[in-house]
Amino acid sequence: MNLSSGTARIAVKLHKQVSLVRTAEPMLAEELLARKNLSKLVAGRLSDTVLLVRSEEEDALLDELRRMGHTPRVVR
Amino acid sequence: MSGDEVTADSVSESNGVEDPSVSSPPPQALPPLVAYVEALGKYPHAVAIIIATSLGLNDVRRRKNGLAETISEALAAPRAAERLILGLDHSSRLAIGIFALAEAYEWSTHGLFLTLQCLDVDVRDAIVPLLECGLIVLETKDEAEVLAWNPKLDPASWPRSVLRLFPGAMSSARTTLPLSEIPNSTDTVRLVRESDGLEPILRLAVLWQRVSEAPLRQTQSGLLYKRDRDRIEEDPALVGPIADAIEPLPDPAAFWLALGRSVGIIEAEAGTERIIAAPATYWEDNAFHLPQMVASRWLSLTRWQEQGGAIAAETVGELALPNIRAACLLWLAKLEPDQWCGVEDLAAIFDRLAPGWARPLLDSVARDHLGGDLGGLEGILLGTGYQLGLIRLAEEVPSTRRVVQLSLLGRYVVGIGPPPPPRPTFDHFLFVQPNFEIIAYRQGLNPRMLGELGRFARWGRIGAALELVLSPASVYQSLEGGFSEPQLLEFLTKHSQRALPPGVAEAVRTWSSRRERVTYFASATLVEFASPSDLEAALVFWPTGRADPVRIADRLLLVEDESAIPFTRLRLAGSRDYRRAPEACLEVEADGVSLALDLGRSDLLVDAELARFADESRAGLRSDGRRRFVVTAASLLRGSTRGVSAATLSRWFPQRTGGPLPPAIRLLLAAATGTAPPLGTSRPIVVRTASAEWLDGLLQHPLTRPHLGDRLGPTAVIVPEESLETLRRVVEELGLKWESTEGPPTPLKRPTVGK
Repeated sequence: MNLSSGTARIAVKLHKQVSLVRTAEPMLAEELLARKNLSKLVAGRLSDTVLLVRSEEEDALLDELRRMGHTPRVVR
Repeated sequence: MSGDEVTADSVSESNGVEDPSVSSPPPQALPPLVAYVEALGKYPHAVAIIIATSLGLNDVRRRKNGLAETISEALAAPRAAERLILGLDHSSRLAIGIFALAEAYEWSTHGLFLTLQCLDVDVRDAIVPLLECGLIVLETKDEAEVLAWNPKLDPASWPRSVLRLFPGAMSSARTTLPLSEIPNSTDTVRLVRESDGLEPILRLAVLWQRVSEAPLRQTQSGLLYKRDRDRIEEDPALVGPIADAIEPLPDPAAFWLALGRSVGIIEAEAGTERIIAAPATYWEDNAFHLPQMVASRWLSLTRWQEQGGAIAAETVGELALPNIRAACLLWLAKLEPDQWCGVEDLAAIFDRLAPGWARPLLDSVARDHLGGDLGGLEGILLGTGYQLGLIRLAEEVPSTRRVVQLSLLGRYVVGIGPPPPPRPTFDHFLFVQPNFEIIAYRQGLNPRMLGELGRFARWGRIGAALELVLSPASVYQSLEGGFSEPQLLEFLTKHSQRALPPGVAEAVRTWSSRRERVTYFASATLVEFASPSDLEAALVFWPTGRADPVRIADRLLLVEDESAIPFTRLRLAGSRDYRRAPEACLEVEADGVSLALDLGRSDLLVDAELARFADESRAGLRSDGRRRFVVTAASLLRGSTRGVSAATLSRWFPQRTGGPLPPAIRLLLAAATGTAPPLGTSRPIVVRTASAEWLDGLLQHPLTRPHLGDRLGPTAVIVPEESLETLRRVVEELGLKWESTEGPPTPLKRPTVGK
């Protein structure tokens, strides 16, 4: 499927109800990925500062972030 | 009267230790209307017909099913319940008014009987008319129990069950006072005492905060796990002594937990074993009415009492004392605002009307308690009633007797007075210290402010003054609850007696900013563009101001508010909901190791999943535009270091390709793990026959069959080298010719052997 083909309107694909972690800087994302317990919960890295996580692991993820001393802002 | 069923005894028991086998959540109570219809549905048909007829439903006699729903619908008609209540006599109106006073949709039969007895009301006269018109139903195990029950008999012989109010009648029922008079005194009184009524709100604020920090867990039987039980029972802010106490509250942790559950400030999380705190908006929505809510729900706490605290879990039976609370308020409501009543006088009324009212359990033989018991009554009036701000206490002159009356809040709760005026407040009730400790003076507080304080500072000691502490965790908790940093600083600045210490303001800002370093989006919406230039073009016309999109990758925008997406300028080429099961979006090509990605059905996870054990093909897109990935021995080796095993892939392939793990990849996996047996080489000896029929014969005959190997085709079969000589001898014994050839086989009429 070619997203850019066709009409004047710009073709997009929506990804709904995605769970992700966004860090203020890339080094912070690196720090999270270096943490063994946390990296297990990361499904992928979308960019330098955005990590894709699985929604069913939310509690474990937040617990681990807090254990690391972070105070994550939670957006629902 | 079931608001405290789970929590009241949860902290008083010795069990409730963590038990891994108990993982399912406790059963949830049915919604009131569902429970009412269900109870009515168990009535025998003839009894239901009596109720329907009394409501004017004369055409339902032949109906077998759905009668309970029909009765419920009739009662739900506009003003139907109100008209029925107006037509009731005094005793029935008083009975139904007790449900309204306690805002309870159910009451135990014998508990309500005791309340009515204490109010000088004939139980049968009060209850039977309510049952006959369906305003209340008796919950029974089955039809037989209803049939065996005769309402004309002594109420003591009625089933020990629950009476359920038709929920729609709650708003129409009004408090009705007893007809008899109460001994009263208008003599001079002195030393009038009235609590500030903040104690329950304060303790509930502490409970709410503690449960917000870490939810409680309960077993299937509703007991708290030991760790959580200890946490609550040992929290000084929750169970510490009350500064302005006349009578102590026994088992305070159980009381606050039960009260917290019944007013909904903490609640069971659906489908889990957790008890969680209500959202922070609870305080904005309910703070104003909270004193009245607390008072009403106190009347319906049946698993905790003023003498002894929470009922033990193993206790069979119901507490008697909780049923006295409503009777106390209704009797005191008979007093004029300048009248008082002695505690002993009230006890004497109960002794006369309901001997044994002070027995421990409703079922108890009342022999030891016939003489009355002031302890329980003092607990109700001067313990909880006083702390909840419902009861005023004074000393009668010159007798020095303790006399009580309803406070303004008490009169309002009972429905005989206007809402009490708001508490006088003064703005500067806080003292914020440089070490982040906060002292709050009760005089300036009201329930709403208590809620706000507890949202950003951790409760410490609760006494005549209140101690709280600001910390990174408490500030974080407040931000998570929607209380922003400017709001927090504004609150502290506005209510502090002195200027806010600069270090405190700075620390709050620093702690708040730390939260912005890591953000977790629980259910974000991402908009994926075909190219970075498309994304740039979209940003030009993207509306600004509301919730601006955030670019998180060269082709991805993060959108917090989906309604802000300008769909009029975009074309939706696909949509994927990540709460649903993963879709099969990959096609396995004929070689078994190449995978083609269907972009229309793919999601962001699949890229990450593929990256673990496959490489994107350098050959570029397929002719149909699909991206290709190739699984190689090296990529599998990389996967194995990241935890991708054969079992993982066996589960993954059906999900993502719709088919099993391809043999080619199985082969690579076996090679990577070193589990594949070595491959062997050999030159096979092949027997060829002139026709398939000849070979069929050789394979079937018992003398030749054991010496032949796999059939290669219609006229060819392998002969194991060690069987060659034996086969040759057998063939010749059968009278067939055996002939070895080196060149291509020549079809013969008789078998030949080629090597």
